[in-house]
Amino acid sequence: MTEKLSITRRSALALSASAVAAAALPSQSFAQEAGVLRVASPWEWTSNEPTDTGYIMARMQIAETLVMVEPDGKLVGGIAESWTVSDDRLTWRFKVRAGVVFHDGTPVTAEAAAASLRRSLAGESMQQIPVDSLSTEGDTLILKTKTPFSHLPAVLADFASVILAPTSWGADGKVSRVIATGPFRITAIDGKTVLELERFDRYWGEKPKVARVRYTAIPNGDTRTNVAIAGDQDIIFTTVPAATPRIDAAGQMKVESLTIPRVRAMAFNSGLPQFADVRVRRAINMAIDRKGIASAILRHPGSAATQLLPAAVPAWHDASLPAHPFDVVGANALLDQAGWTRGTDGVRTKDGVRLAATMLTISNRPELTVMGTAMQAQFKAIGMELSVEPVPSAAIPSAIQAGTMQMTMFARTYVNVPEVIATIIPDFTRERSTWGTLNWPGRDRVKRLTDEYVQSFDDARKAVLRREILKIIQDEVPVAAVAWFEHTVAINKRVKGLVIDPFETRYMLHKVSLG
Amino acid sequence: MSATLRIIALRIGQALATAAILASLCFIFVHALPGDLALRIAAARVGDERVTPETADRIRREEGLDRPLIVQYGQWMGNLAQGNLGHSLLSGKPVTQELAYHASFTLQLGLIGWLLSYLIALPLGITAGFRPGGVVDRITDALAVTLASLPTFLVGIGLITLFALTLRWLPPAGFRTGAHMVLPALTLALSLVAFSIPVIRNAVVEVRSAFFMTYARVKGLTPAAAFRHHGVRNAAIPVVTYAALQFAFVIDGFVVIETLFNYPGLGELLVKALIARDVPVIMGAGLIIGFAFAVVSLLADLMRLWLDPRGLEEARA
Repeated sequence: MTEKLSITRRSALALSASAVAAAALPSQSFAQEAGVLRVASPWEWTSNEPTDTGYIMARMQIAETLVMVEPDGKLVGGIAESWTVSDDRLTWRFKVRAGVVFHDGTPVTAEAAAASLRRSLAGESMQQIPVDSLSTEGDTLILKTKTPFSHLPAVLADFASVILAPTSWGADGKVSRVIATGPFRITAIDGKTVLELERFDRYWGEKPKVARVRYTAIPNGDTRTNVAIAGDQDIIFTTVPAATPRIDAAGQMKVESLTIPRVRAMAFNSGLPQFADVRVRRAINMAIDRKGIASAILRHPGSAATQLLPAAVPAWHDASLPAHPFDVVGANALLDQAGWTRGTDGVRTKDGVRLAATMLTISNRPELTVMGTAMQAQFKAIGMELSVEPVPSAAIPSAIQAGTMQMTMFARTYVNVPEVIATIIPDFTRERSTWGTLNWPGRDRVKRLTDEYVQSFDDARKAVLRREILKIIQDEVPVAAVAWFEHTVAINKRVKGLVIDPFETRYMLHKVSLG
Repeated sequence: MSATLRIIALRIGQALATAAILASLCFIFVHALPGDLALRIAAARVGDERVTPETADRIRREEGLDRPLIVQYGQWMGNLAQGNLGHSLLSGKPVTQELAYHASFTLQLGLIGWLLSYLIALPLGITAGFRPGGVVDRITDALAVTLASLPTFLVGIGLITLFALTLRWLPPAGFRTGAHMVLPALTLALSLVAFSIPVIRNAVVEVRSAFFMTYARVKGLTPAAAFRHHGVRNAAIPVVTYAALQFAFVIDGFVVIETLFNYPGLGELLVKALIARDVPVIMGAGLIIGFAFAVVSLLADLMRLWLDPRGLEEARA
């Protein structure tokens, strides 16, 4: 009996050992596969909905919008070949390009595009459009607005409005399959991590050079660095800037970087007694050593911000605007003049209010917290006490909505819609903004300018309005850019022809070939 | 045999009750966390920079998060009674589908890592136990202490640096091929070995000093034969219990290893669900992990009864 049992035990063990061996057998080599372009970025495929993952669909060139933006910022026809606006500026006609087919082979009609657009208009990013009606006429999609809305084409370039085939949606109103029009189509989705794509041979535009693309989401920055050092991908978007020397030294991949309109900015609750006086906000802004922060923390001196946006968006960069000064003596003089006097602990007070605040930073952007602590030391020199509190990013808009935000430093892109005005409006014209100002009295003046801007079709007048908006923000410092972002891309030696788009709307993979 | 069945039935009942309580605690804790739930979900869905108060409001309406908590909890319990764990607030997929996908990866890597750890720990622990204070014992002791004091991510980074970045034998991250499994499995195994070697060694030392072993030696068996015939089974009892506990610990997922190696396991799912406040996934994971933990410990008990039927006699009596 005992003997029989012991044999069973042994065979059970043997069985489990062979199961392990079978599971561990490599099913395929990890080495690079010929003809497959391997692309990695931090972003996971969390769902099939364009409002959620439309940016991956657009960047990976799976789905396209009616209007597209070129790397130089110029708006060009996408699924819409061309567009016109009526004399009263209220009726827009978008002519759907002939010969565009969805990935399932069905032609893109004006009706199909309108049906897709109707679903995205329900989403928030499109809600700023004062839509009156959306209809079709032959191959033309007609969008009427209640009031003139000059940057409509730019808003339609937003990835939330990618055009999907009517068969993409299931009975529950959710996207069950992504059937779009881009140069690449999805052949397989593995969890949230991997997308397998193939070249769409019936694509209307420039055909991609590579036949297959594999997209891998690698959310952890250190892991992306390791993969770049090992050269285990062909293109890795958004590598950790501090890792650039190590990646370059390993010799497998080379990091290229480009200043983009994404900003690390500091914002005040201008309603608090310590920040209500514009002189105080100016003085604090003058105490920031941006060059020091850019070179010591961000390892890129060129990223020190001189104004809200970098020259990568020429329309919203005013080279004539005086740069943010770094002047501790001047800052102290300004605070003295404003009536803030130093106490025994070195912190200034006025009418019993201490010049102190808690600054919220984003915990998953570690450099912000380091920048915050650097600023903590720099503000000490002007008699201000700062504590830095890293929080999950969603807690910042939450604190602004609740009115509890004192100071914050966050990262914000101003080109989700490739016309910056679409981000200026929610951030600078409301009592409680989305990401930025809180209780800032200057918002009404900016609102008058943005209202005029939205309705104006006169380019010269719009240029004047842009300069005025930028000047008010620069002068009154409700929000101050500290450093711009470098978009970093690690590129494998075998990759040829990659173009980096500062708007990050497309990864321009169709131009890439593998050497 | 009916005694065994009674034990199993009782324990499964307990497991289900424990799992339901655990899931309910998850519900309470998630809602007790500060911050707006809908805003967190919105940020996880559309990305931090695109989240607006309007998005949060839409999600609040669509997902019924504006209803009283007791109603939301009641609905969850009602669905659970029908075997429905609901949908993820993040991906919109059924929770069962999310859990099954990630659990398959965790089980695969967990099983390999766990078995690998015993392939390393058993020979070392037994050899050390045969000669307490000997060279092998001292070396394995130092090894176990070192590994136990090193955080898992350091062990992982060390292995990546050596095998992936310097020698270039293996890929540094990923999950799709056998080669991708080696480094995470080894990292996991080394972190388990640190604690199982001393357990095995002590079990062997204790059994070898037992009276029945002296008797076996006196009746003329060699030390190895005496241990094979009389020692192994007795020494296996604490080791099996400990190994089962370690396995139960492993099936929860291993967040650090999963993150470092970009491996889509349960731990990663759970951490992301917590950050995103994806309540149905958190509760579903709590339920499944609680149940699986109970099942593994039940299996360990049965295994122990099999190795040492004296417990069964007591249960029958």
